[in-house]
Amino acid sequence: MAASEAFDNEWLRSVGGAGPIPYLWQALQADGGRPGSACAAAFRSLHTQLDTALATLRTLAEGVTGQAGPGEEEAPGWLAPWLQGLARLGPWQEAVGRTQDAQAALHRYTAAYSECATALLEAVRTGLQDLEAQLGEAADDPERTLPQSCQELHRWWTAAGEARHEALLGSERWAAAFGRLTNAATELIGSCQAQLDAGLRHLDLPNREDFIDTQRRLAQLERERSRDAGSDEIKALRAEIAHLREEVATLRRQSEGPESP
Amino acid sequence: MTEPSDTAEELAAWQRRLVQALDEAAELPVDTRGATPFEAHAVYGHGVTLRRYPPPATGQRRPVLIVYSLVNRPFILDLTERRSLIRALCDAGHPVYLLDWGRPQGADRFLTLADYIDGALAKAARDIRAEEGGAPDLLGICQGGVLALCLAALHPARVRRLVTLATPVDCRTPDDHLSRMAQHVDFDRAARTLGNIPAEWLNSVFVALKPYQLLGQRYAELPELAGNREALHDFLRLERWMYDSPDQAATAFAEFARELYQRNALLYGRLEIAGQRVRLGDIRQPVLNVFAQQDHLVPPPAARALGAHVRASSYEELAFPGGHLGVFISRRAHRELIPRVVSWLAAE
Repeated sequence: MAASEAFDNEWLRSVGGAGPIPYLWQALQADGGRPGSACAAAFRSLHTQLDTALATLRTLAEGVTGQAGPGEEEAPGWLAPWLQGLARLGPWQEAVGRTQDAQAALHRYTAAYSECATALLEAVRTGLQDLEAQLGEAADDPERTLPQSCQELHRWWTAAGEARHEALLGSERWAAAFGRLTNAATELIGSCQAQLDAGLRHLDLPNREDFIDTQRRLAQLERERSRDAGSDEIKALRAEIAHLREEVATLRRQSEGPESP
Repeated sequence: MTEPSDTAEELAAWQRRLVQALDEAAELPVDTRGATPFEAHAVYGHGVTLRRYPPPATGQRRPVLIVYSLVNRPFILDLTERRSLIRALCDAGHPVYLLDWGRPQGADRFLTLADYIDGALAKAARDIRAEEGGAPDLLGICQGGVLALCLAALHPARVRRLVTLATPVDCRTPDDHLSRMAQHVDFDRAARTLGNIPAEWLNSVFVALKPYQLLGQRYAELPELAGNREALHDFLRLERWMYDSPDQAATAFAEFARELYQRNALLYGRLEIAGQRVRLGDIRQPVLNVFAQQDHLVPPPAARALGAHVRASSYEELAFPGGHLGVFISRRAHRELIPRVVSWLAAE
């Protein structure tokens, strides 16, 4: 497929012009190639966009710490103990328990996602600050050259952004957040699997547990076959050694000549 | 001063070159089998194949068994005729063998590290000895280097000498971001839940270590390759290699991540394979340890830790100025590093 068929040229043009670096480049050009008021306004605008995204993430994180999200109704207080009871007692305990587990897993995942995204966006924000400072320093230093093309500005941004990103990767904050996100994603997938497995079982259709059980048996059979093959090989080798020993003994007898009477 | 219209024209020109490069790329096929012909020498079950690359003349040198990582496909070692570690070894007269780990399927989720090391790898080394009349030299690459070290420690008679390329031994060094990210992940639970670990998941983690370069800069510079068929083809081969990864057998992956990256068990002699402790001190064979000085996946201290733990009859280190992939594919590596590896292997 030709590139122009996958995304039409108009779309490509709009995306290319809309990125933050072309935006900064245009501002830098408007300032005459040296950072000035247009550049400062462009950086401010990008910071504002990042701050808005960070505020949204904070709202998201706060929304999952026990409060109902917009449009959701909290269960009345008197109903909560009954729901807890249903999850622990009676004929529907497994089904209700699974639903509650899934809900809790979703909340944990959302919180962990928000935590990671916040850390990443903060690193982007600091990277932008660094880029702005570096452009200012380069403008003040007659020995240094400012970016002469959008691509060169992009390289400056890559270096500044990646440095901040790497600093984040090297932090315990990120290690803990990444661990929480991965574990929460695993838990969420696991709770979806449990729900689907139960549904398929009710329909008497094979589910994931059945497949895994079959795979486990297959793996065991393969291991046994491999062990048997190994043991057959050892038996064959032993027989060959015995045969060779016999041959050696025969040859030795022959070389020693006929026994004297 | 550039006028706004000039800026718009610069961006438009960039877009045009990008479209041109993408259209040219669509015409260039990428053969993931690699550039050097080989034969399937043996098959060890669950998709593992031992490839044999015959030397141009009858083998005058000892056989070399390449043990590649499980997480990527090995055609990075044979990208083009000009940039091929395999070709360089063959041209030096070595019969070259490579274990192609294949692509784990559903039932392979139960494969363990022992299945890979004590199973396929040990069998391959045994079969090569039978075929060539002597134990092979092992060339372990990245994670494959760990597997090779385990074999050398557990079955010393099956390994004559050992080269490790960008191989992590101490997985808890300060600059090891990959290791840091692994510390709080429950890998066993992930393996139970996800089954075989999807390649896309793992690739996302690797890319997340250098997102600005790998997702931004790399593609921002692609338009510069428009009209340069050879450079574009090289770009595409590398691109295909980066994302043409196999899923990881769940149990073995969890075992590797937990034991190596969380417990640092290889370094401390606590790694168990098929009920046997792997002790680096049991490695007495000559060792050449090659590492990249700017490696973000296996930082130099992670690789160099090997020197303090093996009791090799001779131990040498080669530091290469470059990144993780540069060791295999850079022009400089093919000009300076690989000839030195070949020459080390040629020495009796």
